[in-house]
Amino acid sequence: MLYIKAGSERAKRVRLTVKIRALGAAVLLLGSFLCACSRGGTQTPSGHAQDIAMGSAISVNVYGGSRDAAQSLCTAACDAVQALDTRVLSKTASSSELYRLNHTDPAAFPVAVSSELFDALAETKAIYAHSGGKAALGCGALTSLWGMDTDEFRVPTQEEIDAARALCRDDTVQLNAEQNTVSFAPGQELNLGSTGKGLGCDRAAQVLREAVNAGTITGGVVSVGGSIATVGSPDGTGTSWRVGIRDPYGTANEYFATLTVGESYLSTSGSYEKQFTENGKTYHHILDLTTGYPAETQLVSVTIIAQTGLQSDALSTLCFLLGEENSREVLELYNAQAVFVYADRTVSATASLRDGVELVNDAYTWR
Amino acid sequence: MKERKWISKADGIVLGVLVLLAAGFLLWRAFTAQPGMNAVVTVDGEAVLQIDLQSAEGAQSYTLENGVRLIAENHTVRFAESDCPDGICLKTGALQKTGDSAACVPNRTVVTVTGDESRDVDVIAY
Amino acid sequence: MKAKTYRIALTGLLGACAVALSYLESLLPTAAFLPPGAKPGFSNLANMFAASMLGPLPAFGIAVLKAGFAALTRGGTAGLMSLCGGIFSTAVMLLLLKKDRRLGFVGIGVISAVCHNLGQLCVAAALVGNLSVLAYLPALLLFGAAAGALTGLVCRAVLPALYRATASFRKK
Repeated sequence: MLYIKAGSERAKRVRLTVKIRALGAAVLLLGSFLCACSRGGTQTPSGHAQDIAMGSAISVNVYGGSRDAAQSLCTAACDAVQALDTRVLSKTASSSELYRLNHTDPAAFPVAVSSELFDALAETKAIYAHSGGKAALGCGALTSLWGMDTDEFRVPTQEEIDAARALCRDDTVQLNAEQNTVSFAPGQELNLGSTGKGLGCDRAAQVLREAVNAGTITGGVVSVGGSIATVGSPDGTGTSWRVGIRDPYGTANEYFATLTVGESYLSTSGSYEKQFTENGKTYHHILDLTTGYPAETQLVSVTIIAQTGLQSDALSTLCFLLGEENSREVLELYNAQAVFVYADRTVSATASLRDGVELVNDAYTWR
Repeated sequence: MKERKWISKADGIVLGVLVLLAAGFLLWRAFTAQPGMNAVVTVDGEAVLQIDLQSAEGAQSYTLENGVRLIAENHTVRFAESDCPDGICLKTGALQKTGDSAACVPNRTVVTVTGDESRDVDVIAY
Repeated sequence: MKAKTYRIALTGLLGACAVALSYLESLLPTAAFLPPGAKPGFSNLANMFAASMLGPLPAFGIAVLKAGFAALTRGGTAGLMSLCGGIFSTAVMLLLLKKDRRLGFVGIGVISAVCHNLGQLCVAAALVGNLSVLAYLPALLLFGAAAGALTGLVCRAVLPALYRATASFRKK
């Protein structure tokens, strides 16, 4: 074994320092490699929160402002959606008004509800009045029959479907706007499943809009189960938001097109969303009440940009059922725009939106 | 042989540097890592699956071609089933934050939680 | 007994110890806060004895034996990882024992344990074709430092006794 002479002590120390430096550099390199992947997007959000409500993921990103304020805003926006669910919309929790309404003894009708629930019911009913009987506020009997609300899917028998279909109509649903009272026929069940997420967007967007107006943040993006609200702008200078539209044939975070939008509400209805297969046949979740079965259509998804979250959500389901041709009138009425995606991967959009849509996946072409 | 000490000053330096570096890194990760947006699954270095953790709420199971089964749940992802002998990947548990990673080396499978870098959009409508 | 025979016998004995320690280690419960798959590496004791008393060949021999045991019990991948970790850590250990006079047993134990982890992790990264497994490194470094320190202390405590006990053999 070699012994180091006393004279080389210094040299040894220097060598050790070099070793430590090399080790430090290696770890720094590793560190930068590991964190290099956390950047991205058009801007980095100053706050982010996510939660689960209405059986879907809520996610809120806000931009600008202090980190703490941004973070607490995101939480507040999530809480607003959560509160809407437990207080008003939940189909399963007895704390919700809608649950209590649907479990009211029909002898007690008409019953008064909060203006919050009343407005949601009234607007949903008004939009579905354009469906020619394909969609209705009072569609709960069929959606529960298929297990759409609980994700316990099954194909009902024709007898069951016929019986349920008779209950799925809105002419028996009475909404009195003066007294905020509701009544409907025995056995009927009101369903806000196709508008709840949009309404959640409205609530969360309201929280963000107040903060933008107060100057706390420059903007934010809300997603409630894929229904989107954009508020303000990412950097406070009026920059647009870029929203991806999910690729109906891709995985959950793949998009085939991008939309450039200002402040807006977007919703997509697609047959890919909830699907189940029984005896080799695949069923999606958008029921056509005139048949009692999932809608037979060439469309695979419809994305709506509208004035409110509720409208965008309801219209996306409606236009999916109506098809592109029959949707024009109602889209104009609600001053809404749409992107239609067909099973053959062709795409069309309402005229004023066309320039804002960019197809980013080569498999998709304009119709 | 006898001259070598139990523990020397140099030992202290080595230990100190190691512990400082590792602990510093772990603490830094604990405080700065963001909840992940996606989980990227690679087999033999090839990305075979990308799972959106942002929208992953109820348990969803993904079975890879090599028989490894993953479960995404509550914005986390974990190995749920693997035929590897020691099952280290199963013991790793749920991954949640950007940079978290789990590997099943016998099956050449790695799951890494990533941020949002793959997107040039602010949000996706679905 | 000839020195050569003695060395072979002792190497075999240490190898058996290493395998036994590996096995005992696998019976230990895993704690949640530890990096997955992390083992204290007590069998490194045998390596350290061999490296300090018997020289390079027996030391590497034990590393290979351990890898073979891992391959048999935990599959080829574990064997390969053990082999690379073991060879790397043994090489560094031998180098330090020979060239370095400043480090104590704790330091050598720590460095060799860390090298073992490093070697394994590099093989893992190469096998899966993905560098992100290196994210385990800091946790493994911490754990390796603790386990290595322990191994070093035990080694230092037992080595002189073993050295004396075997002195009569070695002279012949």
